[in-house]
Amino acid sequence: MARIAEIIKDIPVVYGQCDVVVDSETSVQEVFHQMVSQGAETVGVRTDESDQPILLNRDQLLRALADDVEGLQEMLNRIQKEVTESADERINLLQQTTAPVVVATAQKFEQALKVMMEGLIILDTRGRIELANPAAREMLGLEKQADLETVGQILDQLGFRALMTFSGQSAGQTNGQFRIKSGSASLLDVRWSVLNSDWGQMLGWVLTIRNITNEVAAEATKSEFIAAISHELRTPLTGIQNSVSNIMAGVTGKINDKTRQYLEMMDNDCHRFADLINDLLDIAKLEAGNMPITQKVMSMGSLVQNVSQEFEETAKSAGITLTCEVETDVCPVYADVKRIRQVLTNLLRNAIQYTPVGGAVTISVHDRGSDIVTEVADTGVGISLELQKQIFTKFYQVARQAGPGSKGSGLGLAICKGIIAVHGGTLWLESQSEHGSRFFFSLPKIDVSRILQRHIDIVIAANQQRHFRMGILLVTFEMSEKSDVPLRQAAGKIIAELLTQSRFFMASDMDIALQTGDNEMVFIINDCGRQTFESVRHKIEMNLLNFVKKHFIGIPIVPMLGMSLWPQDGADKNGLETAARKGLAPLLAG
Amino acid sequence: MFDFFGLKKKTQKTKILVVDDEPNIVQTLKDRLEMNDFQVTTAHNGSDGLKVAAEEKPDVILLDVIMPVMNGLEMLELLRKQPWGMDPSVIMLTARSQTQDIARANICGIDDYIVKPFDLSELLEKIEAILEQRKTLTKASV
Repeated sequence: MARIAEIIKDIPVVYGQCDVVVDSETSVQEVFHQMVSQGAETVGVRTDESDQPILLNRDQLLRALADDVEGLQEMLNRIQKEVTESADERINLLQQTTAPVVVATAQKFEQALKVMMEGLIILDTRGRIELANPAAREMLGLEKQADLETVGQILDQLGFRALMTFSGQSAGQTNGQFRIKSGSASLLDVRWSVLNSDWGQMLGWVLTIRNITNEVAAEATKSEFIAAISHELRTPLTGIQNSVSNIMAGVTGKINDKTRQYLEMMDNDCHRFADLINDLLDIAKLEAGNMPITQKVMSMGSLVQNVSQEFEETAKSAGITLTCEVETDVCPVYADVKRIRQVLTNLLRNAIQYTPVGGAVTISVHDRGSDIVTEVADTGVGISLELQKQIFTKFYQVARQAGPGSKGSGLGLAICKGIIAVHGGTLWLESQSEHGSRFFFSLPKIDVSRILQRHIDIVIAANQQRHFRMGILLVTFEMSEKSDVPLRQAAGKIIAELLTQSRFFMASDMDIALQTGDNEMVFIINDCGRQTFESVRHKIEMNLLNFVKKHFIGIPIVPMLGMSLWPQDGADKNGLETAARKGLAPLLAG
Repeated sequence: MFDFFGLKKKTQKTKILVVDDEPNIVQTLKDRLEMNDFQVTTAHNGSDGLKVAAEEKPDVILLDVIMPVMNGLEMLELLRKQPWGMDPSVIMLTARSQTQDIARANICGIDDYIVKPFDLSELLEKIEAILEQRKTLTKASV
C-alpha cells in the first residue's frame, strides 16, 4: 500500500488547506478519500529544511507558514518561476504549432473561395462590398479580376442592394432569397443572410449566388415530359370513351341489352383508367413541387354537406349510417375547391369501404381557433399503429385483397396528404385496430391581408429586375345589416359576376383578380400609371353599377371602391392594402 | 309570313366549331353534337380553325390545346384580336391540366375548359350553361 510520503514526492508543490487527519500509518487511499469527501479544495504541503514532507491541516499550515516567512517567500518565488516558465514554454509551443495552422487555414479558405462553384459576396454594414469571389464576378458577367467597385455597380444596376434591404424591411428578418436574370441571360438564385457577431452586433451581409439556369431547364423538361406522356395516354382514351358514350346515347341507333352491358363495362373501365392517369400525374406534380392550385374563398361546411349528399346512396346500399355534423357559420378557408373535394371524396370512400354493414361514418367540421378542422370518422376495421406509419406512403392499401372491384392506385392518401400540405394544412389520423379510424385535416383560416400580400409578392417577384409600378383596387360592400344572410349572398353573387367579367379589365398576364372575402375582391393591376389605373377603375365601376342596377335594384347594399398605387400611395408594399381601405368610397349611383 | 320568319329565327341552330387534331375525337364530338341538334363545323389545327371561324362565326368553339401548325393558345390569341373575335364562347379541351395553359387561355378569355378524357354529357352540360349565359348577356346588353 502506498504511503503518503511516496505520493508527495510526485507532487512538487501543493499548497492550500485541507483538514486531513494523518498519521504515519494512514494510507494514500484514505487521505485522498478524506480530501475528496471534503471537496478537496486545496491541499497544504510544506517542505521545510528536512527532506521529509509533512502534511498539515489548515491551522498547522498557517502557523507553520507564519513561523517561516523566508520559507514562504521562497515557496512563492518558486511558484512564480514555474508559472512563468511554463507560460513561456506554452507560448513558444503555440507559436510553433498554431501559426502555420492559421496561415494554412487562411490559404485553404482563400483557395476554397477561388474554386467554389457558388458565388460569394460579403458586404459591410453600409452595404459596401468587402469581398467577392471569382465565381460571383463571373456570374454577374464580369472579368475575374474586376475590382470591387465594378461589382458594386453591377449589383446596383440589377437593383440588388435595394432589393436586399427592401425584402429585409420586415423587422427581424435575417435572411432571404430572390432570383435575378444576369446580363449573360442566366438565372441566378441569390440568398442573403445578415452576418452577426457572437454577441449580436451586426457585421454586414453575406450573399451566396447560384446559377440555376440548368436546374430550372431540367425542371421544365420534366414537366414537359409528364405533360407529353399524359397527353399521349389521354388522347386515345378520350377517343374510346367518346365512342362508347355515343353508342350508348344512340348515335348509331338502337342497341340491345347485352351490348349496353358491355358498353357500360367499357365506360367504367375508361373511368378507372382515367383516374389512374390522374393519380400518377398528381403524385408526379406533388413530388416535383408544382401541384397547381387555384385558391378561392370557400366554405368547408357547404362542401362537406355537398359531398356527403353525393355519398348518401353509396352509404345506404353498403348498410352504413352517414351523418354530417357541421357547425353553423364556420369561418371560410382559402383553398382549391376541386382539390379539397378530391381529398374529402377519397377519405369518405375509404371510410365507407372499410366499415362493415351496420357501422357509421360521421363527417364534421369545427373551428379550432387558428384553423378549420374537418374530420371523417368511421366505426370500421381500424388501423394498427404499425400500419399507421405506412399508410401515407405511395402504393399502400390496408389489407389489399385480391379479387374484383375497383381497387384504385394506392396513391390516394399520399395525394391527399400532399394536397393538404400545399394548402398549408396537415392531414393526420387517430385509430385503433377494431375501433374505427378518425381522419382529420386542417386548413388555415382565411386571412385577407395575407392572401393579398402573397399576390402582391408574386407581382413584385415577376418584376424584380426593373422599376415597376402597380395599383390595387378593392371592391367591397357596405350593408345596413352586417349579418344579413341574403344580403351577403347578393354581395357574393355580384363578386362572382365581377370575377367572371374580370378578363375585360385585364391587360397584362400579371394582372390579378382575386376574391379575398365573402363580399370582397381585389384587382392588382400591374405596371400602370395613374391614368391607366383610373380608366380601369372606371370600367370596373360601370360594370359593377350596371350589374347591381339590373339584378339587385332596391336591395340595401352599396358597392364601395378603394384604390392605391405603388409606389405613389404606399412607401412600402405592406401599406398598400391599408391605403386602399382608407380610400374606400361608395360607388356613385349615376 | 312574318310569323314564319320569326319561327325560323327561333329554330336557327347553334353553331359549334370543333378544333382538334385527333380525327377520332373530332368525329365522335361531331356525331354527338349533331345528334343534339347543333350545327357543327370542324378544323384540324389552329390556323384552319381561324379560317373556319371567320367564315362561320360560330357561337361556341371547342378548342384543343396541343395541335400541329398552330396550337390552340396561339389560335385563341389571334381570334380575340379579330373585330368579331370576342363574340364566340370558347371551351378549351386540354389533355394537360397545367395551370399555365389555363392561365394563359384565361387572359385571352375563355368561358370554360374541360380536361381530357371527358364525359360527353359533361361537355354538353357545359355548352348548355354557356348558351344560357349568352342569352342573359344578350338580354342585358339590349
